[in-house]
Order: sequence, then C-alpha cells, then structure tokens
Amino acid sequence: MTEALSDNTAALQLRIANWLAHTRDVDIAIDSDQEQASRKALKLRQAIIEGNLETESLTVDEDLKETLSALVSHLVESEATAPERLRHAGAVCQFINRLTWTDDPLAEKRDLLLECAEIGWAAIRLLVEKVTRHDTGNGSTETHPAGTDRVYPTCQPNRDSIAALIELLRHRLDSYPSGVAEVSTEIYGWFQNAAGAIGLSDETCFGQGEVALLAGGAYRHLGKRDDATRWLDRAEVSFRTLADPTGLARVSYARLCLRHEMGDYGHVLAFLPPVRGFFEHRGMLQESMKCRLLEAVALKQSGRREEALSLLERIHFSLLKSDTSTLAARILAEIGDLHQLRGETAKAMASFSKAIALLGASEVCLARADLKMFIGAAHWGEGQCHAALKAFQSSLADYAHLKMVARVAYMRLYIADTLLDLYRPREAEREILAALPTIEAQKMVPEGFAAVALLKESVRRRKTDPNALRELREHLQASK
Amino acid sequence: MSSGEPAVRVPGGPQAESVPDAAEIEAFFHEFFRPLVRRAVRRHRLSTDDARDVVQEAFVVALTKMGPEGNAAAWLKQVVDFLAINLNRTRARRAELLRRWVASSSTMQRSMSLGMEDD
Repeated sequence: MTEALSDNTAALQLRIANWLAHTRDVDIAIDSDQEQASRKALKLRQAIIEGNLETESLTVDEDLKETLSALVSHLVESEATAPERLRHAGAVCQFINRLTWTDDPLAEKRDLLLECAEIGWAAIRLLVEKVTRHDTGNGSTETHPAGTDRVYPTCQPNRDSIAALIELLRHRLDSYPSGVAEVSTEIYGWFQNAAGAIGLSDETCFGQGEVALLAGGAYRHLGKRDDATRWLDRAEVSFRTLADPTGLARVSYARLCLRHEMGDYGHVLAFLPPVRGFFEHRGMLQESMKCRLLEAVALKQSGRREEALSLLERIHFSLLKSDTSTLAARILAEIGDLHQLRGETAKAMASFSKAIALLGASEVCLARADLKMFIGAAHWGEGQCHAALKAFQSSLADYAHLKMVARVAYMRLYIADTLLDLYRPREAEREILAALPTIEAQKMVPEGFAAVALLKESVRRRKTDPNALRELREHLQASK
Repeated sequence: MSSGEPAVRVPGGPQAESVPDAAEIEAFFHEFFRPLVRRAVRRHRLSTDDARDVVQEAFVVALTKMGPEGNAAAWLKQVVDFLAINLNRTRARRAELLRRWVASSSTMQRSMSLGMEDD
C-alpha cells in the first residue's frame, strides 16, 4: 500500500512536470471575475437561505465552484450576528453536501464543507460564551447563569439555527470527537438553563435531544461508554417527550453501535433489523446503509465472514449511486479487511486503494485511522512486518490526534506484537507499558484481567510473553 | 472563451505537437490548477493573478520536494497555503517598511525645511 501511495505521487509529479513544460513563460489566463463571482455568491446565498434551490437541477461546473468559493469567503467576512452566521453556514453546508461533485482529487467539496463548519463552529462558541459569560462592566468577566434578559435578546436561535448547529457538529464528529463532546455538553447545559427563553419549548427539547445524541456518539468514539450511555438516555428522554419516532430510532441505532463496541454482536444482530426497517420505510437511505454496515461488521466479528462480505458488496453496489464518500470508504475498508482475513491480499489491497481514493485529502478522521489499521493487518498477514509497523504507527498517530485513548492503547498492543516479530523486544515492552494503564483505567477487558496480569508480569521480568500479548489483543478485539 | 476553459497559449508552439497533451492539460487545469487558485483566493484573500503565481510556484516545489509517502494532494494544498501566507507576510512587511520610510523621510524633509527657514 505504501508503494501504491508512491505510485500516486509519482504519477502526480509527472502530470505537474507536463503542466509546467506546457505553461513555461506562458500567460495562463483564468477567465474569472472576482466581482462577478461575489455578486453571484450573494444571490446564491439568498436563494439557499430562502430554500428556493433544488440541487438536482444544478451542474457543478467551474462557474458554480467559483461562486461557492466566493460564497464561503462572504460567510467568513460576514458581519451578521452569531445566530445568523450559524444559520447561513448551516444552510450553505447542507446545500454543498447535497451537490454531486465529480473529478475532485483535491477534495474541494470537503474543504468547502469544512470551512463552512469552521464558520458555524466559531458562531457556536460565540453563542455559548454570550450565554455563559457577560461583561461585568469593570473590565472583568464572570460566569453568569444562563437565561437572563441581559444576554438572551442578542442570541435567540430558532429551530433552523438549531438544525444548522447540529449539522455542523455532526460534520465534525468523525474528525474532532473530543471537541464535539465538549461543545455538545456546553450547548446541552445552555438549552437546559434557558428553558422557556429560547423559542418554543419543543424547540428546546428538539435541540437537547439532538445535542445529547451527538454527545453520545462523541463519547462512544472517545471510548467513554458510561458517558455515552448517559447521553443517549438524555436523548431518548427528549425524543420521547416530543413523540419523535425518527429521533428514537436514531437513539436505538446509537445504542446498538455501543453494544457492538462492547462485543455484544448477538444483541446487535437481533435488534438491528427493525431499526433498519424503520429507516428504509421512511426513505432514510444514509441511515439504513449505516445499519447494514453495522450488521455486516457484527457478522464479521461473529465469524460469519461470507455473509458479511456478501452484504457489504451489496450495499457498496447500491451506494455507488449516491455521494457519501466517507461511508463508501468505510464499506470498502471492511470489504478489504474481509478479503485480508480470507487470505486474498491482492483483493484486499485493491479495496483499500479505492477507499484511500475516496477519502482523498481528508483531514485526520476515524475512517482514515481504521483504514490504516486494516492495511497494517494485511501487511502483517503477508509477513511484511516493516510495512505493517509503519501502517500501525500511522494509525496510532491518527487515533492519538482524535484523542481516542482506548484505540491508541489497542494499537500499541498491535505495534508491540509486530515489534516482537521483528526481534525488537525492548521497544515492544515500551509500547505495552504505555498501553496497560489505559487498558486498566478504562476497564477495556473485564474478562481479560488474567491476560493483563500475565503480560504485565512478563514485561516486568523483561521477557515479554507473546502468547499473553496475543490473548489480550483478542479480548480487546472482541470488546473494541 | 467560455468560463472555466484553460487558456494556455504556448508561444510559437505548433498546434500539432500539443494535440496529444491538450486533453491532459485541460484535465490538469480543472482537477488541480483551478481548485488550488480558488483555494488561495478564498483562504488567503489573494488576487487571481497572485494566486496563479503561487500555485505555479507550488508546482515547481512539488517537482523537487514532494516525498513518496503521504497524501500528495494534501501536501500540495499545504504548500500553496504556506506560499500564500509567505506572500501576504512579505507584502505586509514591505508595506510597514514603506510606511515607516515615508514617515521618517517626511519628518526629515520637514525638519530640513524648518532648518532652512531658521537660516
């Protein structure tokens, strides 16, 4: 896979050399008028906000890309109030998300989405600060109980801006779970304290439910399962109050993801079909695909690999029609992993290459980190320990960046095992010693306690027991 | 020319010679050159002309410094960002120096003319 990346770079360098040879001493005229693009951007923004635009009727050509780029610049420079900026950024984000963007090797669509998310993010922080702090008039600030008249008149988001806020936070869930957890917690508290002050009561309840659901997902990514469960309970209470079946189905899905991470695959396979059926009945394609992906991974972990592969291939085929690149990349990564487990390394690598292409120039995210781990496992299976080590270390760096401490500990054990294969026991010991405190503190392997003790003892004697290491890894894999 | 078409004019370049590469050049223009120019304009507030120069410079850097590992497209975007930041920084520094120089020279001129009046 490292070679595949090198091939991509070499091919790009060749294209660059070709381009430079053709454009040397040449005036490259770009038919672009910034003022005109700016005017079009303002018109487009108005149409998006008013909801007068169907994305199906639009072709993403250079002209539209130019206009969207100018529109994002406008959002950055906008002097609108925080709730307005939040609403605008959310609307533009949703609009861009729906556009089908072809030939995008630089991931321009993703960049525009992320920049919109950043704008919304800044507005959210401003809103939260406005609610929780106020100027005391003597130059200092003090924490202020939210919900007072002094603060609220300047920041009363309606249902639209709450929806925009949720969309923006959701967009960051895979790439910044710790930030989403933190901000969701703050905003939940804000909604709670401001009951009656923000819009209608069902809007507050809706906001609380959505934010709690996001916080549940973020804490799950961070490996804090107790916190995740508590947040999902809060989300369920809000959606029950609203009698919102879609919200409740999404909470059920999130709970099943959590059960899956706890290794309860039988439970997941038993209760997933009605949830998926609900989403299919409502025409919620993305959610039903996510259910199928979860089902396939649960089948894989239960040892039913043929069924898992067949299901993944079916959902990948149906996904090709829609533009959900991260989901498609995750499906391809799982297909590759299943091929790897069957010993079909060439097929596995082909799937991983496609997944890499789909993720493109994306920032560090969970899908990328998982993919690197799968690639490492494939190399390892082939006995290419150096390549495996490199991929595992890169995956570990991504998990560490995402602050997913449980995954970091898990990867350290993989790295230690690879280092033992490379006859580098001292480095392996260091990795194990770095991983064990997290494994113990997070109670990652309640039933693998003996393996932890055994491994600890063998490392203490400076004679790492590879069997104890492997046993612990297997326990972790089952509960990951 | 319609909006978005590459207008690369190779002086004296025979048309027949560039025909096999024309499609590739156009594809590269749409896939890499134009999006990078837009990025530099949007994120760094450069004019289209400055952005174009920055992107060309990034391509030159890529030929010599792009490593075999990692994400080539992400690397390229980062180089464009660095070069655009450098350009803006250099401009700001020059503007500041010019401002100081103008201020000090006008003070000097004023003191010189005052001195002459004293004489």
